[in-house]
Amino acid sequence: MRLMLSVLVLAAAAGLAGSQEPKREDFEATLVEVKGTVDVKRPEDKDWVAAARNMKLKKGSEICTSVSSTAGLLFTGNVKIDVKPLTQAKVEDLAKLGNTLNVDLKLKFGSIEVDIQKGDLNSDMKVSAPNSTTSVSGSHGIVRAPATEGGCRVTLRTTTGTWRHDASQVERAIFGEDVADNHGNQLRDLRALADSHDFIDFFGRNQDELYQGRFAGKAADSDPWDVPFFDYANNSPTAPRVKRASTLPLPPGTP
Amino acid sequence: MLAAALIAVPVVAQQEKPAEKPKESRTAYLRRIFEKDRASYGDACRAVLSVLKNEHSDADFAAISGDLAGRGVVRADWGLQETSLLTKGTLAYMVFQALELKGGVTMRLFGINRRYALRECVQRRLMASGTVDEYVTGRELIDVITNAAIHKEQGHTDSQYK
Repeated sequence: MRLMLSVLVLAAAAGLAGSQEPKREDFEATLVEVKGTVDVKRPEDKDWVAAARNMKLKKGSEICTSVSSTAGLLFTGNVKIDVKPLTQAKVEDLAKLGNTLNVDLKLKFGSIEVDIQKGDLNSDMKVSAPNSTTSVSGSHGIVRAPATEGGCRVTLRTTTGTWRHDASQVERAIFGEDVADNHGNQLRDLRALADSHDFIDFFGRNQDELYQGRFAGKAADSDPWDVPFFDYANNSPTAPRVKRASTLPLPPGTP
Repeated sequence: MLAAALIAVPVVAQQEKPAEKPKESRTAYLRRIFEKDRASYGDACRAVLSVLKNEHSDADFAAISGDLAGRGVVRADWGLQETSLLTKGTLAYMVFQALELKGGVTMRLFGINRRYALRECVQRRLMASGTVDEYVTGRELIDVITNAAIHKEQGHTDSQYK
């Protein structure tokens, strides 16, 4: 009797726990913008068909854009993706789990621009390229997957939100403390792992600027070139002494 | 005997008729190029003309190559066929001409050739480095066309490397 009761209690508890899990509902994205030559292949389509405005794309759908062609995909009011020209992408997963929208996009080649604003639904977006995965939440940026390199480049247009970028071949890790935005603020919530062809950039800073980020404090320095490489060049007994511009005499007549 | 001959004639006629190549349309060529180990001259012509016109072109090879020759993007004396394998030098020449790039002193003095066009395209980060006679893979062609389209729009390819 006691055994039966405990079994019943356990079963009821399991039932309650099960009911607390968010229910998975399939979701559809809407093609809100189509420019140029854009084709889609939905799970029910035998072959690729021309994309049209207000077309619904569900899990398993693929989209391909030609030269000078773009497509805008609206997932919810606050989650939008622009598929750039010469891109092929597949919606691997698209579902609503309780208050969260799960989106898994597989980028075969090309680039997409992700724009996630604050809204009623939380979003959990993952963009997979052949050798890397980028998870995005609450931000705006571009993910590019060159066809040849197999890697991925990410450009952020905002400092808010969290982007996590993992590459399969890792040589160097870039963390939040390595980079700052244009206003000198350290970026938080950044965990990036990058190798030679996987690269994260902020506000258009190029790779050299990013790698020299540790010298960012030198910006207001009167002698900004006082960095180890140049010091070595100047202090080496064998190296010719380079006269710095700041110490050059002014030409006569200069006020 | 007569009945057998009557049946056989249409069968022979059907066999002799060359199989028509299905016309490839819209974005199908991109997906096909992506899977190819070696891109062809025909692929490059279609892609470069699409970049030039800012729209996808479904025309056949003869019309496309004629259009490109008229614009000076390809040279008739190359004697390349649609299925000829594409080399980096040829692709660089086409991209260089299509984007109306200006070369250095040597090119201005002696005219454009594939070797200098490749150097110029590499320097402008339109193409990855390589040799003039190296074959182009399908994926490389897609990247070059993507870069060329960006260059045409923005005047450089910097945004592709950020």
